[in-house]
Amino acid sequence: MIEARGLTKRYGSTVAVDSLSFTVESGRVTGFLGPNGAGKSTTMRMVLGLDRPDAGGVRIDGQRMTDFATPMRSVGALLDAGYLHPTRKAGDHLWALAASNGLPRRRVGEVLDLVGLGEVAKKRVGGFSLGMRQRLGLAAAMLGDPKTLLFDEPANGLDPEGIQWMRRFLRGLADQGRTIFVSSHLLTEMSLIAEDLVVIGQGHLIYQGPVGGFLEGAAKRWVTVRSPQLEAIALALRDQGAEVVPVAGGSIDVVGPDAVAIGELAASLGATLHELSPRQASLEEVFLQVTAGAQQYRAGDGPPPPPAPSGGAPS
Amino acid sequence: MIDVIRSEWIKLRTVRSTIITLFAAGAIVVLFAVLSINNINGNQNTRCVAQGTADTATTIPDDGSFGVDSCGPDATLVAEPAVVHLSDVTAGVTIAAFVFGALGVQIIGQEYRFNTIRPTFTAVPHRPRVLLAKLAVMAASTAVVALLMTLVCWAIGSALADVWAVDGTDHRLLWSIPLFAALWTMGGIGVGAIVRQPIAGILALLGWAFIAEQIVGSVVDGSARWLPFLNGIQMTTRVGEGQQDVRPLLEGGIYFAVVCAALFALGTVLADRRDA
Repeated sequence: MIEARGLTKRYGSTVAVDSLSFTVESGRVTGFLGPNGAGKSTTMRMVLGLDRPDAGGVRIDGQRMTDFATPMRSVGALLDAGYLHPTRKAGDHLWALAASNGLPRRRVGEVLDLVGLGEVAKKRVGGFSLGMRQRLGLAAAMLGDPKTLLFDEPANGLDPEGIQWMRRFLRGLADQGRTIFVSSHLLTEMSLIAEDLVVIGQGHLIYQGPVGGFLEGAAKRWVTVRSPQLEAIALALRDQGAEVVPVAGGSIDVVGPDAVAIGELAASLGATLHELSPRQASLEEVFLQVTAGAQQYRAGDGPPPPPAPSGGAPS
Repeated sequence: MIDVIRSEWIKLRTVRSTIITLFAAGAIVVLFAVLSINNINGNQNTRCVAQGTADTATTIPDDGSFGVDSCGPDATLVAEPAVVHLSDVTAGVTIAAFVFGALGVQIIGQEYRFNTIRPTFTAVPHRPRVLLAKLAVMAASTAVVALLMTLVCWAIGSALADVWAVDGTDHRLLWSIPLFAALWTMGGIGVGAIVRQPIAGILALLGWAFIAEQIVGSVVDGSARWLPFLNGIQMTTRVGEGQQDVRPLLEGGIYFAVVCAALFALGTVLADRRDA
């Protein structure tokens, strides 16, 4: 379990992380979401003791990082695949790390095989692709067979095959009952991996809890209705207090009553339904919705973010 | 702590540039030793011997263009091959000393440059332990290499010199050169931890030792006794060969050690307090 309490980090007059508190439950995969500049990487580094918080603190399984006699046996981390000396061989890089925690050298071969790099143990890492570096970073994190693992954007820069491999790898670790805290801006990816979410914006906590709760609590639900008697249905729905938004293409999005109620109403009107689709915003849409205003860097031009419902957004 | 030292030893051995740098330093020392012997072997000591008393003694080239080349009517000119001491052939160690300091800067500066300091400090959150392990590994390594270099100089001198002599000062060099190397390495690690950039750290060290101290020592009267490198470098030479008015050997050596230790301590404190 990771417990962060009142974490605060300032860089001059900029407050990167502001009194951030959250808990990452044991044996679960917790996604760490936030727009660029939200303070995710800073928080990760503070969790690992690399950055000194100006206030607050972090405990991992009740202990500070400095309390662990051999931290790699308890906590593993992949913050950036580029943290390598280019002229050092892959096996030597892991060997030096393993030695620092008294881990046997055979672990190097084991973790390299685990990530599929067994054949390049004697190659210098300067010639590694980004995907290979990511795998080497994972191998380093796994050296001590730790119970708690932190990954900062582990799928960054990976090709689709690499992303799939990473997803399976993290899922496999989670299935072993490890505590996994993973940040990502690939929200769809996160919805496939994570059970819980910690969402931050401009250093503040926006949400903590199950992925489903995030979607249900923040997402707008609506029903798309298509019918030859659309006007009559819309009128009846408005009379009942529902919010009705016409959508281009001859359908309406209805916020309020669920699909069953709308179906019953249509039947009572003798209307024919061509479509009756309950809809919910995707994780990505919800994320954009809840972090609106909490993005440090935002494009000034270009297409707007996708609207919440399928056509016109009910509000 | 032993595990951390082992880890640092593995790091040191598994980066090609470190090994190349050490061998390059060794080659410089050997080259200077051979050149020094060749230079001295071409000289002769001459002296006038009169009624059992040596009037003068100096070294002149074979062509007798300067020095004592004639004696009075009651004296006889005696020419003998010049004597080569160990201290005459270890000049390359001064250059190697810079290399040792640079290695000290490198071992920590490169960790920051390539961001490997983050996995390092994640694996060993007690950062002073990492710095102390680096010091133990680097200081021991440079001291051993310096001792080997000095012994190689000894071997070259005894093999190539026409007249080879070893006195108390030469025996002192066998431990004072390795000690200087270890201390200078410690200072280098301190500078590396303060600056956190290998190139900037090496330039700072170079500028301090070989430019700033030389200029200040030459321009400001009485300043040499406060310049740590000039005081410390005496440990690698025959005392009195230095050009400036530095402290006596022991006092100067202690002063140099204190400055290097202070740099290391400052670097360690900063590495511990700063974000990695």
